[in-house]
This record gives sequence, C-alpha cells and structure tokens, in this order.
Amino acid sequence: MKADNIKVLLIEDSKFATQLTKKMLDEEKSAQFNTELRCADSLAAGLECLKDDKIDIVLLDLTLPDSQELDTFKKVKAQAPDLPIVVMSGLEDERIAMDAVKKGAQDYLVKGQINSNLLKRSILYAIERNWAARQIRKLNLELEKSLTELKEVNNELEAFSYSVSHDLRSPLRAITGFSNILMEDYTDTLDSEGKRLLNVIQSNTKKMGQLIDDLLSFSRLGRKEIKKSNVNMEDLAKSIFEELRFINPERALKLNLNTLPPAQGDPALIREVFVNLLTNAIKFTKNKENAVIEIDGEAKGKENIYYVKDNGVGFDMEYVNKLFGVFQRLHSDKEFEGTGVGLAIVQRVIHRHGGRVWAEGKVNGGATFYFTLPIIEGAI
Amino acid sequence: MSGIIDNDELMKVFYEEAHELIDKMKNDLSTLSVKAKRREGEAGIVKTGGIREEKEGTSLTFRNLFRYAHTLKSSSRAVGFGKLEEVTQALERIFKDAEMKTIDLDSNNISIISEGITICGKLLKNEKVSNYKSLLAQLESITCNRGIY
Repeated sequence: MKADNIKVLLIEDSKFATQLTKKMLDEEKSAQFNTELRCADSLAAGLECLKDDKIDIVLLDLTLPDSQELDTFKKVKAQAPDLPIVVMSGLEDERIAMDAVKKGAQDYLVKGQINSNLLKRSILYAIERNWAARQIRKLNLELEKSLTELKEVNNELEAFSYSVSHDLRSPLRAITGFSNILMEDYTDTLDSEGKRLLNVIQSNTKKMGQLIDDLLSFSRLGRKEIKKSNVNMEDLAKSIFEELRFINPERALKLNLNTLPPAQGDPALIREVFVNLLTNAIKFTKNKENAVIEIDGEAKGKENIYYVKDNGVGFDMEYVNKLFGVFQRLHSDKEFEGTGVGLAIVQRVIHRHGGRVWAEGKVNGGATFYFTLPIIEGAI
Repeated sequence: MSGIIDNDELMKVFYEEAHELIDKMKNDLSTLSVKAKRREGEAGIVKTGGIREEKEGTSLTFRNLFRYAHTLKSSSRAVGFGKLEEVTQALERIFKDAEMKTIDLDSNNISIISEGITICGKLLKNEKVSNYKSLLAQLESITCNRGIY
C-alpha cells in the first residue's frame, strides 16, 4: 500500500466543507501521511477528474447540485469501480451512507463529527481495505481461471484415458488371437519352455484386458450423467451379496445386514459401490474360515452414513490415503488378485453424488469402508 | 454564539458561504411564494396547459432549497452554531417533504419558512432573536415532526 503522496479527490459542493477538509488533511500531514487534494464541486466535475487523474481515494458528499443520495455514490462507483470511496454524510442521512457501504463504499463519515485524525484513519483504512478487497477479487479470478483450466485438462485427460484404453484393445486382441493360434496349431513344435512362455503371455494379456476394462469403466464413470432416484439400500446390498455368494460357492460367508436408510442416487452407480466394496470384503476374507461381513447405516445430520465391514486381512492405516487411488494396491497380485480400480470407482461415484468416503483398518484386524450420501429434503 | 473552529480564514469561508446560501434560499422562496399566491388566486379555475412544466420546476426548486439548507446545517454543526443547525435542519425537512410531495406549502407556510430563513441570517450575525423557540415549533409543525426520509 502507498503510505505517502495519497491523491485524494474530494467531490463536495460546499466551499466551507472543502476548506475544512483541506485544513484537516494539512494538519495530519507527515512523512507517513502526505496527501494531495483535488476538489470537484459537482458530480460531473468529479467524474471528469476520475477520467483524467490518477486518484487513490474519493471523499464523496452525496448531496450535490447535479446528483443526490445513493445515485451519487452509484455513479462514482460505476466510473471508478476499483477506487476506495469514503462517503461524507449528514447525521440525518446516515442510513443512506450505510447503504452506500453495503454497496461497496469503504467507509462513511458524518459531517460535523469529523476531526483530522478520524479523517486520516478513515482514508488509510479505506485504501487498505480496498486493496485487500481487490486482492481477494484478483485471487478469486485467478482461482476461477485455474479451475476452468483444471476442468479442461481433466476433460482432456478423461478423453485421453478413454481413447487410449479403447485403442489398446485392438493390439491386445491381436496378441491374444495370435498366441491362441500358436497354442492350438503349433503345440507340436513348441517345447515345454516355449509353452510355458506362451502361457505367461496369455495370462498377462488376460490381466491387461482386465486392466483396460476397469480403466474404461472408471473413465466412463466420470462422463456418465447421474440420474437420481430413490434407492432401497438394504435390498440392493442384499441382492448384490447373494450374487457374489453365488459365484463364490466354495466360501462360507456370513452376512450381518442391518436396517439401512434409503438413499437418493443413481441406482446403477450405487450398485457399483456395493459390488466393489462387497467384492473386496469377500476377497480379503478368503483366508478366514468364518468370513463375516457386516453392512450398516444411519442417517446423521444432512447425510446417510453407510459402511461395509469385514474380518479379513485389513490394512495398515499408514497407507489409508493410498487406498482410493487408481491402480493403488496394498497387496500383491499373488496374494489377492485385482487391478486396484475398485475403490477408485467407489470414491468417484460417491464424490459425484456429493458424499464422502473413508476407511479404517488394522493389519489382520479387518477393514471398514464408510461412505455417505447427502439426504435430499423431501426426496424419500 | 461561539464557534469551535479557531481559524479566521476558515470562519471567513463559512460566513461567506452561509450568507450566499441564505440569499439563495430567499430568492428561491420568493419564486415559490409568487407561484403559491397565483395558485391560490386561481383556485377553482381549470388550467389547460403548463401544469407539468410548472410542477417540475417547483420540484427542482425544492431540491435546491433542500441542498442549501442541508449544506448550511452541516457547516453550522461543524463550527458549533447549534441554533443555526436546528433551524436549518427544520428547513431541510420541510423542503425534502415538499419535494417528495408529502406536504403542500401554502402561502401561510411559506411566510413561516421565510421568517425561518430571516432568523438564519440574524443568528449568523449574532443578532438577538427573541422568537427563536416559537418559530422553530412553527417550522416543525409544518412537517408534523415527520422524519425527512
């Protein structure tokens, strides 16, 4: 902020008030507070000064020969939106001066109650406050710009990852196809090491296919429009658990399903949440003889909180922040197969619904995955 | 009447401007007085033209009168001329109400206002004003103690 040589424009039609202001500014003059006063006795003259001169602050009388009350302030503000304005009002029109402050004046002073020190402080604070307000506006603009850029980059990244995953499929299909031909038609000419290597190629292409599928579904999630409706969370969780139990007939799985509050969300996407969380719960309890999975939920404040808990291998809380990242895995593929996209999908779906996700766990002490969905007033 | 500003040059500007404002008020009021008398004389006669122009002109006169009284009031407060501040405040209210058309000034009211302006001149010259309180009450009764806004 400028501490010296402050150019003050006084828009005031009274000669006495002008002289009085000049005297007060002179009284306060110092090395730290040096003012240069310019005077205009009408709004038109004041607006003209604002066009030509480099002004730091405007002291404004609201009752002028060519303008009155809030109109005066609005016209000056329109001409100099970035300048601090201090309104000089009468005791009886203090309400109008306060309205001017609401509309962007930095301060108001009541005529007849002003002394030189008060005037000095008002000028300094007004300039300082205005500077801070301008900085905030500037930062907000920069932030908005960055946000727009970020959105554009994000969209480009989404499009990129979609097209890359999509385009990767063709060469992968070719590798799979040709290795199948090798396996079927050239089995006599391949020795055991050749066959082993071919198997490695095939299992890796399968794995890569799964990765591409997961990446594609994750990418689609970001683009898919959310269509919200009422979701019976209890029925949904139960039916998904039954489906998963069906494809894991060798597992002894116990489900403790408590009463879940209904939710507002996209049923297909919420389904993905339960599929991924329950798939994980079943996967990470595979070493347990008696796997117990618990699903519960409750309404709390403006959101419903749900959780899926298991008594499986759990995880080290030190790595909890990595859990929801794409391709982030805390276990090797040999121990527990997977691509590391499931929890990223859960997080993306919940975030797109305006909810939160988090997890708690302990090595060999099970894991609990929480997610929330906002309660929409009058929706259920 | 004693001032709180110990600066001869500044007080000189105050007096000059105050006299100027009082003169302007007197001039504008005499125009209004002529109009009021003519209006009262023509009561009952339907006029066919010029009413709108006259109304607009009157409204502008009230706005100017308000500004003169308003400026004099603020200056009086700054120099500590309490009585002058009180009278100009009462005048300011009347002119604002008249401009907003919440009161209608007849020639009787105008003569009270005229007396008020004369008293402003006397107070400025530090002359003795015996009827100050009764005049202030009369001025205030015109606006029925209504706030100016």
